Amino acid sequence: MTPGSPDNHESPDAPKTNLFDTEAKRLRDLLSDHATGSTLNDDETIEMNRLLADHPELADDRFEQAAALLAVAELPRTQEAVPPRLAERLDADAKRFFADAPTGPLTLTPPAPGRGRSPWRVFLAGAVAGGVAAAVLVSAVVQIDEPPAVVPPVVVTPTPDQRFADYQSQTPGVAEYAWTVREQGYEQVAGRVAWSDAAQAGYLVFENLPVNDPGVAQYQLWIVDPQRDELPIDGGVFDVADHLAADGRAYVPIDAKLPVALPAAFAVTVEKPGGVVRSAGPLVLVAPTS
Amino acid sequence: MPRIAAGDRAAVSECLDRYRGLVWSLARRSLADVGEAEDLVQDVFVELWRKADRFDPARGKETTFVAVLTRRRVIDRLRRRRTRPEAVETAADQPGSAAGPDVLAEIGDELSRVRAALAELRPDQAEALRLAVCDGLTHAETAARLNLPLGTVKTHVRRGLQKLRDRLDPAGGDP
Repeated sequence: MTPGSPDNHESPDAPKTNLFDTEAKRLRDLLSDHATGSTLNDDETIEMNRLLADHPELADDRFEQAAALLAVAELPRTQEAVPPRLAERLDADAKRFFADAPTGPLTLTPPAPGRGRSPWRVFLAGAVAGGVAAAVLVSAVVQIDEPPAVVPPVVVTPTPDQRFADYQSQTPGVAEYAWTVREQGYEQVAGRVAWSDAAQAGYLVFENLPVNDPGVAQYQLWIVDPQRDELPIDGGVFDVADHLAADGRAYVPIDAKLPVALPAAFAVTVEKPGGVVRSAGPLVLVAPTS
Repeated sequence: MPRIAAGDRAAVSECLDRYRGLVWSLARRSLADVGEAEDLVQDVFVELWRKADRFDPARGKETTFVAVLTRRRVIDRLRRRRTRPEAVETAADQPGSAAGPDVLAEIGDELSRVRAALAELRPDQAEALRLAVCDGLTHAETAARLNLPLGTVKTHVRRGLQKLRDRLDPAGGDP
């Protein structure tokens, strides 16, 4: 069969393009409905989530912006002032917000000799149980005071697979979702996402994911969560080599930058070093949750 | 927002001073219950402070960011409660919107484009969009109010909003 012959029906980008256009138009309709506050039924919600998972590049918050600007443009000319009691509550919230946030290096008191839990494990358990606070904790500087013990403490750094096993055994409500490959050259990749809504923590497990050169590109995780935002949540960048275990798999902790409400899919793209705010690289893996 | 994300406490107070009127106005426009509107305003600000690092000036102005987040939470509550806006008491109204003029000035260009796009819609299309977005009516309620078929209202609202969206970002329209 030669290019241009009547039998050559498969090549072309035309059917693919038509499908893309059809799905893009449908997604625009659903995003419009979502932005105007229309309650999508179950089928429509599933359809929107699927389209967003299939085409994260089409996620578009301009519909929400247009609706919000219309709401502002149409505000009545007269409006009651902010009640003084509300102003007081807001001021109190602001003070409490900063009081709750860590402002300096965290100091962990090590366990008494013989207790058996390493400072790392104390930190890990606390971070997992702390849910959203984990993201703050892991980015803080952890300083461990040396105890005045006769025998110096031995800190065993757990391997990536041990950390994952700890996560699975200590975290409530972990659900797992399989990866599907979306990019040529990654067909050999397998694995899954483990995620707990309750703990707001999770892991990515990969088999045969090509090792990246961190100076050239990094993998970046995105969490598609239309209930929270039409744009995917940044799940953090990672380098495969940093997370490889002896079994050949990579175990990557999820570093969600925001609380996740109802994840529709987890997606991995390849981005420039340091990651990006909005994905520009190829979508290589997707793990839909439904 | 970037200053809040960097931990600047003074920026939090400035954020409150600047946007509390806007957030309050948007909440009261759609929520009949004063207590519920107050709770929503509190929720919105705590979320704003937490999400401050998410603000990207390349994607829109700060006021738009605040308005989008407020509307999301309003929609959440309307979906749960379906509180009707016509029940909003207006006896306590005072002259002038609670949203400060400086806040509205920041997004003056965007508001002008939205108003221009709205003016280009057919009257029934514009009214359907207003009822859905500003008054929080469902498509079915809008259809009953305007005496139009449900499918027509759905199309009016979708196409109307898409026109506004494309006016705000002409490069990002239909593929």
